[in-house]
Amino acid sequence: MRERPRPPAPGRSAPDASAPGPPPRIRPPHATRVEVPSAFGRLARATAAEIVKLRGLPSVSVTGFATMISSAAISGALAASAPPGSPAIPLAVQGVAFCQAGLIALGVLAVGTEYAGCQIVTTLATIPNRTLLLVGKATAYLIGAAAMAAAAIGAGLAAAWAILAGWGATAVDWGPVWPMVGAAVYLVAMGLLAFAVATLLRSLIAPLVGMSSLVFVVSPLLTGIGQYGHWLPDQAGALLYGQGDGTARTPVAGALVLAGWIAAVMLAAGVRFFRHDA
Amino acid sequence: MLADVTFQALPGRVTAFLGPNGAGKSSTLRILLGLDRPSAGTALIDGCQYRNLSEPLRTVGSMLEGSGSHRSRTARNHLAWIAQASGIPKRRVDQVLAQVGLADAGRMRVGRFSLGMGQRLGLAAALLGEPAALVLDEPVNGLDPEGIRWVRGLLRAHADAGGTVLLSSHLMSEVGEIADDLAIIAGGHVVAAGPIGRVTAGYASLEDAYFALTAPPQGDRR
Amino acid sequence: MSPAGPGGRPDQSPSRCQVSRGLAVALLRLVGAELRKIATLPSSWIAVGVAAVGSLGITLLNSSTVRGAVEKGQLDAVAYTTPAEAVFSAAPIGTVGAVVLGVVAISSEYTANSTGAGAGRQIAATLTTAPNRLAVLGAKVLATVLSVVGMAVIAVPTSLVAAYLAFGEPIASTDLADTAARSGGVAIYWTLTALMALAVTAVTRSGIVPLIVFIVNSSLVSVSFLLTRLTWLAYYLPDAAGIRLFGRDTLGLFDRALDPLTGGLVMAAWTLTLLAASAAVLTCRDA
Repeated sequence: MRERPRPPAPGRSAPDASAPGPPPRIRPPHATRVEVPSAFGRLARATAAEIVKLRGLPSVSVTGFATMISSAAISGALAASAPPGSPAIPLAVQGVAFCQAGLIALGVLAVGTEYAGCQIVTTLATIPNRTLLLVGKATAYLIGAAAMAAAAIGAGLAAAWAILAGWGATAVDWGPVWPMVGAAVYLVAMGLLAFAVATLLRSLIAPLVGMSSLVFVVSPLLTGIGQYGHWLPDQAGALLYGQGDGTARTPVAGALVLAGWIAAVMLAAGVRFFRHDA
Repeated sequence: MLADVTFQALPGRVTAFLGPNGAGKSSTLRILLGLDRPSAGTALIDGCQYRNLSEPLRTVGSMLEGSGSHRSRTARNHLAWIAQASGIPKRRVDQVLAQVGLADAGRMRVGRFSLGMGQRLGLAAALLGEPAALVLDEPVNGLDPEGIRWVRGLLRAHADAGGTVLLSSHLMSEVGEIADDLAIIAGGHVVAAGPIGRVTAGYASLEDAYFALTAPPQGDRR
Repeated sequence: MSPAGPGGRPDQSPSRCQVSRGLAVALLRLVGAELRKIATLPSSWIAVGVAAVGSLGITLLNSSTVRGAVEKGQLDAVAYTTPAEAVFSAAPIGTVGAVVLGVVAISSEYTANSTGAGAGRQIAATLTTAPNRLAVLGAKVLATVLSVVGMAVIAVPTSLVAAYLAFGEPIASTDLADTAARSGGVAIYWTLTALMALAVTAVTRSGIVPLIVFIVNSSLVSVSFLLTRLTWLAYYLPDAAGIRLFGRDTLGLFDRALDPLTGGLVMAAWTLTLLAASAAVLTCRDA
């Protein structure tokens, strides 16, 4: 089966530079000709465009605010029921388990909104280089997710401090700092896994339901049944913020398992994205 | 299934792509724009594939699926990200919204647009990069008479200025008014291509020519 | 349509029997149509399948772990030792399936087709077929109840059989009564959760928020149970209230939860309130 439709562009091909006749009056004479940027420049453009896209989705802002508020509420609730003198950071970090929902939603929305409708056609017509598109989208997601994770953990910490310190009445024991960093990394990584799943499944609702069920239903159920759940991404990643699982695994080992999951799903998603029609 | 679809869209002329439902018009356009992958053969624009064009939106402006935006975005946001991704200056967004008549609807969510407004937004995105070539799938679908006349004027002016227009359509009357060249596709093959006068020679009207050329072959038992 | 009297003039006052029979038939037809709609949605079958297979899988994992511990004599390593408990601790997976069934019953009406297919939504066809919106909502509620009960009928007995086979113990008669009661309880819990998800989706029109909120709250580590550590009032939240319908507190997580009857009534009250709110919104709002 051969297929060759050919709509040529007029007067733009280099060999016609000396063609006779007036040049086409498509572009006004004063319009500037922008230089084609380097690879890094093109990536920056694609990332900036994806950030504009994320900003233009009301569901993204709603998710961000909801995650912040629920993190504050949950950390506050935990602080209120904790014995006085408890360190603040571990309480804030415990709320991380629920903030995952917001980051998972962000990762799924970044990709899923392309497929809920026909926006993927416009996106691929604008940025036909699929590698550039995927990397730009992922970079834009990482920037947004870092901001959202930082805001959520910050809000949780503020709420925990407010309750524990009685709004500044007493001094507060903060506790170790590294679980906070680990929690932020964990949140961004889980959202990235959701991003990869959404790219693989090419839809909005299925990855949302799947990831939420995995993290909030299946994983807790498997926790109570021996060692089966330890290789799940969220349980391995929980080592990053200090939730030990009773084995001798270190946070680094947990991070590697989580990274392995992300890499595997991203690979499958990338292969599908490149081979599939729009 | 497409087989050996070959035709030309020349600069300075409006080429109309006609055919029954399922003949392969949309598939051809999607393959041309690099969205679908043909199992064999290549589709080239000006000598290179769409995905290898350095500035695709400044070369070919396309409208394949109405507004082409997610329903919760505003029109302005939709055009803004396209402009950002293609290195097109921000002022073009306002210019092109005014050009298609959506200047007042810039901050409205696309989900609340009527069918005609969505079509206008799609046309705005196609015009954003001031491209030399326009590839449009059913551009007048859903437009009111004023809109149809506006599109006709826009495409005619674009062709007269030297640009290329390739549109696919079902409306005989529109095609008759606006097209210079025709390519009629049926059953995955191009059954007729060339200037409209030559394709319809010997038939009473464009409609008669279309039905005669796209009729299934008599006694064909494949 | 009233029957015409002699001379062609329509009889203006049909008997009450005819009216109520007509209404019942119309409602049955609506319920049949809604069941057909649910049955032709791929999401429904995926939800039922995942609930059944997932429950079975978790039950088998539970059973093998508990049986292994019992055989080694490490009774304090596991929280329970009965097959029934192995089955009912897998209930949250069925809750997710029930939530999906409740949500897609409504969200499928509001999902827009692609532009090429006319960008239409099914709600227009539904409401022109049956203009009475309360009847449509009632039919959807009944159809969802039937689907969730069907899912329970598939998932729970297969898991129970698998658990008893895995444990290899004979079934004691006292166990049977308790297990049957808990099976009914889990079916009620799933049904009420599905109806609450349906009500919320009817208000939001999009399935995304109800899905996230209800799935996050499906398991024993949900927000509601976290709040119960803070105040006993949280036991009146719907998912925490109904927990004793099927759950026995083997891990000490909900020692002050409401007893089955009270909990079931509180959950039913929540469900009715949400359904009433959604009915009000549906009748007042444009389609």
